[in-house]
Amino acid sequence: MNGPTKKIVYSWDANVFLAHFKQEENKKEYLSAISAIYDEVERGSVELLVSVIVVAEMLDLINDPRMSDEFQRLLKRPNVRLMDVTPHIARKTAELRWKWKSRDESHIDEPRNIKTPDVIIIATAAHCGASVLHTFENKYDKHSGTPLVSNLKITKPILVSGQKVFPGLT
Amino acid sequence: MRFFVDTAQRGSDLMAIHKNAEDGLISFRLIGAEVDDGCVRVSDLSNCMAKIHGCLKHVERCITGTSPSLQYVIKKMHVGSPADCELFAKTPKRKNDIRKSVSTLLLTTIASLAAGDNGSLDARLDYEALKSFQEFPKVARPAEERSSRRLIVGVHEINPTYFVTIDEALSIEESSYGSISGSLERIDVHKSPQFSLFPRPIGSPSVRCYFGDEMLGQITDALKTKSHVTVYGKKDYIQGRLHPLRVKVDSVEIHQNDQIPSFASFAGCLKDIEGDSVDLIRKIRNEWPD
Repeated sequence: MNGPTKKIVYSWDANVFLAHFKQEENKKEYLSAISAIYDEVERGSVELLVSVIVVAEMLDLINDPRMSDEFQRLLKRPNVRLMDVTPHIARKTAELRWKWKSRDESHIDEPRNIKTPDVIIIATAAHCGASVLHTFENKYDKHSGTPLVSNLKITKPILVSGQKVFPGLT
Repeated sequence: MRFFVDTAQRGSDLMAIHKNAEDGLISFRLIGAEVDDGCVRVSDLSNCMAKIHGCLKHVERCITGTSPSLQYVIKKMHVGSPADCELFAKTPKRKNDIRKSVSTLLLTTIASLAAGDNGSLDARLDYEALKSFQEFPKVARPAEERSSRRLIVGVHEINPTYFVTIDEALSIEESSYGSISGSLERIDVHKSPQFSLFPRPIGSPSVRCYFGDEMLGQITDALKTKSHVTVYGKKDYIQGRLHPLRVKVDSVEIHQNDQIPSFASFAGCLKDIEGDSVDLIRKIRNEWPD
């Protein structure tokens, strides 16, 4: 069928933006991948999905009117999709939090609760059909692709599309 | 090849759908009302044919994302009681041959609606396209005057379930205020001023945006410069769709690509903030209650 071409859609957690903005030494192996992904966004070959929650957190940390304005303009690129918390995403968020809270005892070593902003970001990525959610938050790793995170793939930033940049090989 | 089967044969008629679709052929049968001794009124036939043709055009537009280009000819026609008609899509000269895709999508959508299944409607069908599925079989709507008229498209009779399902699919499930971005196309100022917004991801159905007269200049400028825009307002959603069906626009923001900073220019801009990025974000999130 001659349908529209499906592009890779990356979704970024706030800590991915922040790692680039801080050029963190301890995440050096991922910084090239982050830049390469955004290069592809600028070229229009992939899309980047950003929850408004991420914007709120980044603006909180930036705390500078001029830079805040610059950051918001960065998100106005056509291939960057800024996503509101829609009623559907709100419902999905609640559903995922219930699932998280009602897990069986095999997850006793983990906190029973997951914070609402974390789940909004996951629910947004899942609802909008993101190919992968990139985050440096370790607690999601073992749940990637499971119903607990709405079957969403969650990884540290890795370029999927061009396969040019891998952490550790840059 | 036979195109019309008795309605009792409905059920697993997908094979027949695909056979018809392969030929780019759409057939329909119209059966007149008892009051006309089963004969079909000319106005009903011409109206029905025009609306099926319109529906085909919408389906094609939703598949390709561009203006429809397929031309249809009447391959066979039998007027009387009942009236049978075959519309055939001519082979396109230059573009990819999408005739099969168009006729398949039309017929499978009709099949889903007649079976009461609006959950499997193709996500590419936008509001205008769904509206055309509501419009073309109006001649056979039970509530209408002379309601004994019947319409069969391909192998599927337009039944009462069809109308219930399409009405449900087009009813607003919920509304919320917010924003949506995309490229602005097709301004229409004939009745309520409106434009079509094509949001990401590419291929998403267009969103119909209604705006006030005072925004016309701004919106025309955005169209001329093919700008990416963000609209703010009341968004109405129908079931199972990522994007709203329509937006009542309160304001519109036009983005100029040349004013967007590069990502590289942000590298190191927050170097002075102490702490690890994960911990800094976690600290903000931990302010939320459990």
